[in-house]
Amino acid sequence: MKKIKTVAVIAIFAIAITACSDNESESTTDGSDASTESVVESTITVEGSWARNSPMDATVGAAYMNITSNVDDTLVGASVDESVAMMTEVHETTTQADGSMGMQEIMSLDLKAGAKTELKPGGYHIMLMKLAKPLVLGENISVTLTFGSGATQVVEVPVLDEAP
Amino acid sequence: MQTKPFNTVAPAGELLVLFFGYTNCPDLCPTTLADIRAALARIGDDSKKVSVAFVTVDPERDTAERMTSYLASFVDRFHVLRTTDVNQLELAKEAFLAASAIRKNADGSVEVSHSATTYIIDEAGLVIDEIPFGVGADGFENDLRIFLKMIQ
Repeated sequence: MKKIKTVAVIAIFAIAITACSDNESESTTDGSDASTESVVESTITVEGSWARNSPMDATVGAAYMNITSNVDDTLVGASVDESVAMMTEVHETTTQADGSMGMQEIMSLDLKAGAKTELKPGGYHIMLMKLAKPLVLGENISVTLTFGSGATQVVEVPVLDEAP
Repeated sequence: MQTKPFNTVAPAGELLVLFFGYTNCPDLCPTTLADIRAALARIGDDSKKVSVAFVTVDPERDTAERMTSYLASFVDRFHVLRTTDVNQLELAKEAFLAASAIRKNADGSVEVSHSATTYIIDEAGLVIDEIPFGVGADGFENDLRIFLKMIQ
């Protein structure tokens, strides 16, 4: 078994080298720079998302989720359609010196490569302000996330009464 | 709806769960109240010996009606406490070593910060437990069960 595997790996490797050589020679022929920069494609995974259902006719709401990026990036914004809320900001809940807790808008949230950044109750959250209508249990809202790298991602966030 | 002065004391044989907050709170208040709701559901029958008192730190925007509707979304047995008397609110906060602040920005937005600790009070008016923010339904259920047993 082992032997066969080793052979297979070498074979693929050999093919890859050949392919690379072909590409390199192509660029050289064209006169362009032969050294190509290897770019790691950014993959951003969002899971465990949820927004809390509104108590009565609340005008603000919060959405939570876990974001993992395979490269260093930042979350710089979030938005929802006007039919959901008029304003959306990324907020952080903080504890002041007197023990009280408040929140402030943050313009950029670090997403370290490979690390899971959690937006959860009492911490970071996406604040939905001036809700067009209360968030109802069972519905889904589309939240568009904007990243420092320029990437965007639309997340379908379910409205629940507790974390999934 | 009755409006009358309220003493932060639990009825005999019961517990009073008190929390400072405001209805426009997106994160801390709904989370705490939802956790309390879940904990009471798990406790079952004994939850009839628990009532919740919600003190607004934002009496300007939180009317009694609004607060009543808000609490009703979470629990059945509750008292909504509101005073527009700044001194009275300060005294209430001091009694629990709680703090809150309201900041109005130039663009009209309002930022509110407040202690997110939940206090369990007994029939003597003593704070017998302080539950910090974030313990979850598990934390509330745990403490409520302990103190419900203690007062039997």
